Amino acid sequence: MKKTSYERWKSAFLTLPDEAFFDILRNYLGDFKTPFNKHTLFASLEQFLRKTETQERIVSLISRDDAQLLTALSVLDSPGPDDIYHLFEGEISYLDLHLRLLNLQDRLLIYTDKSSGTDEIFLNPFLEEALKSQALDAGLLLSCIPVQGCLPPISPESAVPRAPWPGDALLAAFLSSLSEDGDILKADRSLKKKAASSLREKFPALFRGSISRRSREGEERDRPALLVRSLETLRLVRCTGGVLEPDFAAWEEFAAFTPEARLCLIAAAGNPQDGSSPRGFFSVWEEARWLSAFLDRLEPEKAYTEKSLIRLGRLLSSPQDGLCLDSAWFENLLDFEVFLPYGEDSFVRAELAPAQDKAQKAVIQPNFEVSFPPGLPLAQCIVPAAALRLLRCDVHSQYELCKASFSRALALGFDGKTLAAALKNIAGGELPQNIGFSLDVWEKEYRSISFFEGVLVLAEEERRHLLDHSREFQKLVRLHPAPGAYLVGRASIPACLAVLREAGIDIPPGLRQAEELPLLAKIPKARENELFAQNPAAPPCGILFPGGFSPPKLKIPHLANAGRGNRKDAESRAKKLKTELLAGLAEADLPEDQSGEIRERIKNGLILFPGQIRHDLGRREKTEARGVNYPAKILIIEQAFSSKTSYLELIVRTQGGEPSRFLLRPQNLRRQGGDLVLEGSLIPGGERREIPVKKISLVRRLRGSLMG
Amino acid sequence: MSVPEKSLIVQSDGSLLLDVHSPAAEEARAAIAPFAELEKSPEHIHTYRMSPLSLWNAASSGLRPEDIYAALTGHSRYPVPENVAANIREILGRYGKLKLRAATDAILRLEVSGEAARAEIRANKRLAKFLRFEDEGIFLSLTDRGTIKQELIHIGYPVEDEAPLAEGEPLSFAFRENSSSGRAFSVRDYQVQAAASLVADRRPGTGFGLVVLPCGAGKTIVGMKVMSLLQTNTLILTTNIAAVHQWIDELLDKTTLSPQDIGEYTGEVKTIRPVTVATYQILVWRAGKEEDFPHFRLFRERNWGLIIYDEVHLLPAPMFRVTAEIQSVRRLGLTATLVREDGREEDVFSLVGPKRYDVPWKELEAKGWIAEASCVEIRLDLPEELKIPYAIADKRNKFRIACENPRKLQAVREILCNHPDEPTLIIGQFLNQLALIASSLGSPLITGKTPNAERERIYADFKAGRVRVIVVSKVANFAIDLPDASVAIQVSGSFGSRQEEAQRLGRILRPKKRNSYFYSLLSRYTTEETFGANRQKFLTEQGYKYRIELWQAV
Repeated sequence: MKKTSYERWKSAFLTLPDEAFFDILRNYLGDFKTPFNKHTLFASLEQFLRKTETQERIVSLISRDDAQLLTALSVLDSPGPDDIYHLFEGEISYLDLHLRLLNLQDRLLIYTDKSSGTDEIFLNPFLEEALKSQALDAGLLLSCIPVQGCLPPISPESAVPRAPWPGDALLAAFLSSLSEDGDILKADRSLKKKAASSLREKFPALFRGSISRRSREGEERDRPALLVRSLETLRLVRCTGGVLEPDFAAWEEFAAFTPEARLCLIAAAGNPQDGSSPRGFFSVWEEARWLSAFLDRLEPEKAYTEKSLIRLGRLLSSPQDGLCLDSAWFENLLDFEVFLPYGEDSFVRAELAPAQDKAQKAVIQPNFEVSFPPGLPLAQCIVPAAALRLLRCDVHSQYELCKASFSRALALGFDGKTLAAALKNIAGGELPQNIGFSLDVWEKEYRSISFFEGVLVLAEEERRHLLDHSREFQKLVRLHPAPGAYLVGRASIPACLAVLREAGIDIPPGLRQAEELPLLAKIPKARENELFAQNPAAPPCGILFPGGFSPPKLKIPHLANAGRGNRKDAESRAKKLKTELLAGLAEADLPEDQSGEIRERIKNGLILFPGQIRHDLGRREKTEARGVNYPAKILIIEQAFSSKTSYLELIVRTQGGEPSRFLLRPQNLRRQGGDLVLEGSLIPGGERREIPVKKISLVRRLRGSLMG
Repeated sequence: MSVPEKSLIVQSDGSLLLDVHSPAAEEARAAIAPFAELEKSPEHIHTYRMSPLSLWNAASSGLRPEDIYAALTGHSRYPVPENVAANIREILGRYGKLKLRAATDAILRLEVSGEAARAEIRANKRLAKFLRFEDEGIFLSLTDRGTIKQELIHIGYPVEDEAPLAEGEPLSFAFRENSSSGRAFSVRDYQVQAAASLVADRRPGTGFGLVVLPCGAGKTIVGMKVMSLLQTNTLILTTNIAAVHQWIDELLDKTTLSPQDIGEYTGEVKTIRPVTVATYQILVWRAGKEEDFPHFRLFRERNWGLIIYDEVHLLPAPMFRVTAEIQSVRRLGLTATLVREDGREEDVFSLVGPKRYDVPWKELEAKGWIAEASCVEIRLDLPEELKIPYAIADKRNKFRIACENPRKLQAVREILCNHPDEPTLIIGQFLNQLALIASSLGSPLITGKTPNAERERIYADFKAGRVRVIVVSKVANFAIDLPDASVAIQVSGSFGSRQEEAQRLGRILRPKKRNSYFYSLLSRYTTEETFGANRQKFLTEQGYKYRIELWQAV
């Protein structure tokens, strides 16, 4: 045992209010006469706790719920009641949790250290080893079952049994489809009719409900909208005048992440959180990193309940990062099939790539059809996606290479050699001869005639030298297609006129409107750091994404021994012990009020040995009052004031007649008209409440606990 | 030992991709061929499609959904998409729901299983005028047999026609052991199987359907084999007069039928005999758009026991009407493809019958029954003097200038030099160009105007090897028989249709010791390249090796 743990326990115990301290001592060691020495009494308790039999009996009375709570205490770092409540939020009320913690304290399994100013709960250091070996079970917090057999594919187009729909194949296909025609959104951001019809034909997976939703009966969000939102948030596409334009530089960076990281980014970016507007990039980035780390904690061949997953999320989160898996976020993860249903109420992690024993390669056929097998890395697909026309995203995605699609890629700034090389790379070999020949021909045709907008300056032969030798003029020329012909941008017209004036030509030629000549089309790299200009604190590692996608190092609880499942034996041992104790109680022939109190303590696990069954065990006092018994309600409230540690459990009828149950820390009782009004603060949260005593249908002082 | 990778990829839209390089590919091909149609067969991955028709064809041969699903899962590289299994069950569930059986000599009973199908049929207004709903069942007149089958398949219900077929007037004949030309002759095993699959044991539901064999595989012999099994008066319908003569020649050459037994019914001659060979054109001829088809009477002139539809995918639409009326006659459709350019495959299925037999061309190529073909596209520059005329010409003339590029003649000479001993066809669209080439090479020219006698004399010389090169116009698109051609050079021509292109290629696919070559000459940087691209796509989809070369004038 560590000395510090022991000393903390001792200090906490010795600073208990006398009433609680003596009640505990009386319960376990019997009555004692005054004068007494508190330290001597404490030493007796310590001796009692050191006994193996005591420890065995205490541990044997631990129920499944006790073990779950104790496990939570062990994995959390000196938690307060609020931390534990946060972990079980939605599963257990604060009041019940409070009662259970008090009970564990009464049973000497845990103690509360208040020395830091806040309540910190620890396991009893005398019992820690026994608890670890016999009671603590991570499986109670994170229940999971092994996945047996192969799951059916989620999407009929999926070649991988557990692949989520936004996988690499679909992303590459969507990129290709947007490159061909990004004009798919109406002003309200819903899909245009023609686009919806085309996408439905090409992307059946985007329009087919998922198994997750079938099993949960939840309302699935529109997948095309989810995907577009994700891509926009991640800056992979830009919406310009309603047209979605892929940013190939961003795609290149995005593709460099692992498939898991990409899925996390897509899912995080598609999470609407507080509405439908796109979210800030960096909150998405952090959320995706957290999600990635969270997913890493899950075993791939285990299925988890939603509660378990949310609990794990809470265990992994810290107040600083502000990230925590909740039901809404979990719904979002189901939308993206990050989790897939398994059995009645469990979920497994999606699987991102098929098991492969050889590298997958695309097939480029002499009839210009291209087939992408599942499992092709996204990074290899980006340039080909620009040059191909998608036919259908299916088990094998089918594309075709045609003059129009190839020209489109050339217009995006790719050159023919790059495109051919990318196609060769993805196919793992030479292109069919007729295709290689055609690509050359198409590029020559594309480059043979070019359109430029601008101002064409024509100079007669005798004047050309004025322009050809003017350094100022040469700086303005974008294109010099023939002797005496110069193409300049519209913005350069004043400068051109100045050059001409300088050269002595003071009759200005007629000027016409012209658009500025665009720079030669290139893959847009000019957005460098544009993203980070909005957030100077962000690390400018990549052009569009901040460096590598390293998941944060989350504080990981001890989750060993998960699901060891020895609860059945423990429960039978507890039942046997309680039966023996109750038999002893029956033989003790005590008055009914004392017998009832002891029976209650046996039931609550406070009696370990038959010797504890005595007439002087404890005081019996009234702890609750109901309905019309107004004086009794007032008495209990006043008793609670006298004990600084007492809380009140109240049931108050609401206006609708429904009972409202809550826990209150009483602070004042004041008169108002013909009634008294109880003032106090709600637990948890501390919200101030005033309740007329007449409206209280039940008031219960939490005096069921010795520590209470 | 590693397990060979499975070869089939089952897509969610019902298409099946076959990785032909997988060791298990041929096994998978054999497994899926009964219920999926080969759509394209390029070099690496062949595409099959499961359509309602292909599945109903499978059902007609006794395949059940579980057989099909087992074939798919047994060969599929990835899990079979769930919806595919559901679709197969749904489509096959419709087959056999409707049966036609004889009620009396003139009345048929339509047996419908399933209330939903019965309600759908009852509610259909187009069917109402043909069907009588009585307490005892649904009845129709024998004369509406074909029309009903046609209408029902249009609403998604194939009919199993088990009504009896009429026995035609008998005709006794046999195959010769040696053809009249003296060569040993025997029917190949797949031709025997194809004929047997149609005739079956003459039980109800057999005796009509399609046999699908690639060009050059001897579909004519299959037709003759069916005739010999049935020994009955036969009407043979084919695409053109040359094909009529080919049929007659073949019948005379390989069977004991005499010229007195065989009639020709064409624009030129109209004799009706126990075996009569006619063209579709003459049958669908009529004086005006509103007039009747007078030659349809041919179907009633004799008690035919068998009608053979040669190149059934080219069956003209008006022929469906008359075919619907003669459903009690045994029918055989012969074709290389089930694809119709007009999309009326369902009418062929319901009126002529389901596919009874097919064999992949690769299998025949492997056995040496058809030749292996290589396609080469040669691109030539326009001569300088034609570039300006080409630039200022309208679209139609641009195409013509490109096609008639005089450099093509030089290229043709080079190709002929490269294939010095091989019988060669030069095919083109523009007669002036063809005449120039023919005269330059000293080769005979066949056009639509060439008299039949002259044409057949040239064919005979070509077959006998007395003429090595012949120049032909569009007539080469049709079913002329040029058994010894192993090189075809296409000097001009638009990409008419998939069928037309297949027919041209079919001219060089006859079995022979050497490989075949199909050259297409195109002018570079002209509109001709667009047609070339279509041809290239079609031929590569068919799995032919395809190269493009740039021809440099010396």
